Amino acid sequence: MLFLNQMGTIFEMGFIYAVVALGVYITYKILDFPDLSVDGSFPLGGVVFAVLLTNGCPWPVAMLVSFIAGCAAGLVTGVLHVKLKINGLLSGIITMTALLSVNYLIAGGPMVSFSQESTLLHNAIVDGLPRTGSLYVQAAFTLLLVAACKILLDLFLKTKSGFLLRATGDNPQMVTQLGKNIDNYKMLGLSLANGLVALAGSLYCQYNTVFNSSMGTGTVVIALACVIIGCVISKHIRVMKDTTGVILGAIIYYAILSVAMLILGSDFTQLIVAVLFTLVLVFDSGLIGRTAKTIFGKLKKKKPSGGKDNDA
Amino acid sequence: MMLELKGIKKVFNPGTADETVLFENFDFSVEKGEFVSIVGSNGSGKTTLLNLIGGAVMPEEGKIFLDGKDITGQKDFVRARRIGRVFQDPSGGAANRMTVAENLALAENKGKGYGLRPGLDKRSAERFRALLHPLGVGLEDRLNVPVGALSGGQRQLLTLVIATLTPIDLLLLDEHTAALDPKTAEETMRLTDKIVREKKITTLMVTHNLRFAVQYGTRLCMFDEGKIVLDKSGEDKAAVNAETLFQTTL
Ligand SMILES: Nc1ncnc2c1ncn2[C@@H]1O[C@H](COP(=O)(O)OP(=O)(O)OP(=O)(O)O)[C@@H](O)[C@H]1O
Ligand SMILES: [Mg+2]
Repeated sequence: MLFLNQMGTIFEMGFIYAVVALGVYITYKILDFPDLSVDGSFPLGGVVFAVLLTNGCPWPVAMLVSFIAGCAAGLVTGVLHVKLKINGLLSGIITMTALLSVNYLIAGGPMVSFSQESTLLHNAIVDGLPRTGSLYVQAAFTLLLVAACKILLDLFLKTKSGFLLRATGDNPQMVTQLGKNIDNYKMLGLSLANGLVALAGSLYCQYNTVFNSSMGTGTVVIALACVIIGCVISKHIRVMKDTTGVILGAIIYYAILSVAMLILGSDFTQLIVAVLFTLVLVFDSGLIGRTAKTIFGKLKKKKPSGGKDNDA
Repeated sequence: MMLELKGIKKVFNPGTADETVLFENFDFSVEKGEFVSIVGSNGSGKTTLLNLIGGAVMPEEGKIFLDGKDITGQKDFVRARRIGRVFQDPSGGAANRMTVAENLALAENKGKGYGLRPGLDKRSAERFRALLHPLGVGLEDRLNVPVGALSGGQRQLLTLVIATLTPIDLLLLDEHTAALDPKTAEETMRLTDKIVREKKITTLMVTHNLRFAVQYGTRLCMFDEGKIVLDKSGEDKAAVNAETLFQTTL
């Protein structure tokens, strides 16, 4: 039972971070923009959702507004970058820092709790089930949302505007040659990305039935790790889209994180997140692969020649 | 006149020890339909001229007119709607992680708006194949290959196709064959000439290949330190050969 619960949590959190990762995929992979505003827009989505809900707003509307609030936050980063010509990394840091206060002000304190309200993840259906069952139903609901986001994103990336967004990250000079202002596409991408991140923030709060102002810490690092793992997977499986890979990446990442936390305890969470991220980056750089090959190659050579082994 | 530059002044790093005055009271005009080859030593201002026209570099003084319209204050992406460009670096003209077809689909829509219509439709492939087939380099069979996987020559041709796919007033080529091997450069130059003639595009081509400069185009200009030191067209140009041109450069 404990194992089943653990698996359920991994799926649930994996799916929530899959939505974040889809957003970060847009900035990091498509636009080639290291967007740190995510650490602020994730809790922004949460606080907007929590405050609207406690003021009597139905949850679907609250989620939609969370998404829009995230888009606005992304737009701020975009404007800082393209209009005020501030370095991309710094633009994100500015937005993230400002959002810390903004979130606190919206919440009116460090926490907003809404355990009585009905939401996507806590309602008559879910709460009527035993713990394990409710976990899986929650995960299923979240999966539906992830799938919807993924499909919409895939469809968008196949439109003419989606092509332009991809070209903006790939070769900005070409977009300029097409008579389009790359600034607009950067702002569009940042908005969409942070909108998705904020939407995930609202899911995270729904799962915990509380907004906590520290919920954003480490979001960027987790999401980047999910994206990088995901893109490695999709690169090796031809038919798989990057977006599918990113969702898988989020689940794999969360599974590893959960196991590590189970062994070391939750005090180590951020440390584990940091170490995992380092490992993912090192793995992505090909260092591990090359080292493995070198060692493996040496072992092979040491083998006495002859027998069935006939190296060319 | 298709293109007119009047009284252009361009200074780099003004007010510093590195101040370089490249153009001073510079005039240049190109008639509709002309194909101008531009030669000149390194640093003579050829690329800067194209950048001034394309809008990547703004002049300190002077005016630039395209088809009679003052474009001096226009941003580069606005000017690009009427100006096509091919750069020296083969990776500069197309989105390398996107496929050939996706790049052509983008190029096709230049000036028409993009929106949420599907990027590729059922007949795109057919259309693009018909477009690329006449080039005779087999690009039509590589529609679904990422541009980054093409050879430099194929990429330059694709960039040329992209730049000329929609109607433009002016085509700017900056040493677009310089990164190619001699045979591919020859082939690319021949196809460039073919496209420019067929579409009757007014063209400025910068090249270090004196033979190309002599053999192709309707007019020949030589730059030196921001000045035009030789300007020949028609019969005068026909009389110039690569050897005499080389002598002039010395
Ligand atoms: N962005 C810049 N900043 C400072 N100086 C510049 C800049 N761009 C060009 N220059 C200077 O202007 C002069 C002309 O450069 P330009 O690139 O136009 O030459 P070019 O004729 O294209 O040479 P090449 O044949 O090497 O391509 C050079 O002296 C160069 O140092
Ligand atoms: Mg040059």
